[in-house]
Amino acid sequence: MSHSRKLREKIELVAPGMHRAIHAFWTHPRIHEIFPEFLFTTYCVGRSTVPLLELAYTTGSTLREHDEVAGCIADYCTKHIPEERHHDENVLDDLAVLGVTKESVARRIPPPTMAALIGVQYYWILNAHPIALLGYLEVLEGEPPIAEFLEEVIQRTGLPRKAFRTYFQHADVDRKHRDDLHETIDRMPLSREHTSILAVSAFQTVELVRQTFEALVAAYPNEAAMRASGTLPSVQTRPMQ
Amino acid sequence: MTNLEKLQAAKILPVPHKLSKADEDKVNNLKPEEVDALIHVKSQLGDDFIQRNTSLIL
Repeated sequence: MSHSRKLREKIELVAPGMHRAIHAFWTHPRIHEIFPEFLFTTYCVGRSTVPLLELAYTTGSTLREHDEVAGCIADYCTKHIPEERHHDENVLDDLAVLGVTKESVARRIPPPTMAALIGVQYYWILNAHPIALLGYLEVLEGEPPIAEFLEEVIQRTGLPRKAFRTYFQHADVDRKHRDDLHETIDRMPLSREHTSILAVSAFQTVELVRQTFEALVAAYPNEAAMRASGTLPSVQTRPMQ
Repeated sequence: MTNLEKLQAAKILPVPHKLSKADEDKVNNLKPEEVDALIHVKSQLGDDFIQRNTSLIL
């Protein structure tokens, strides 16, 4: 079995909880309110992708002489960095469609979960091995958006199609990104330690993505759930006496 | 102690769990440091939720 297939199988063991949280977001009755927050989250991740790839490139290049795997990662980053450039700016354009200005985004402090999601990758790259970043990317790019699903969300929510431009773009390009990533992972002479770092990084990413989506949804409780829990008065069916 | 038992002892997997035999084997084939990571990050295993239209790009 290929390295990428083995990694995917490990991710699938822990992914259902993350899938449940993401599904809760896409089907939430208040998604039209949550969507700008979600795009802000997407922006927070998107703006850190190129700096993370650049760090992995630098670290991989430094280790290249004695570490073939690190050299392969540097080569992968060289190719992938131009493909990821300006994606964060595209998200800002999508946010602008929803009335969220670039200035307000620049002023906002990202949530701690975002700092954890991105920050751990800096730690792994600098203190373990740059291959950790490929575990992170396998989680984030391993299940690209499906255009038909996005169409269904637009129909259901009435959100403007222009706010989904980045997502439609990724529905096109992420399949190629995923295939390139798998090809890179599969052609490297990975040791037992390399495959463990890949898996550990991926497990942590899955958990932090799950927490991110749960926090997004928790900030917008749905009214039926609030009534059921007693935090919102039940609907009056008769006039009060 | 198998990986499965370690994860159950750490309450990462419920007792009894809902994993298929194939997934049970995958868990038992994980390396010790991978099992430690699952415990450390409080992963959620044993959830049988299946939804492929997750559209994750972040």
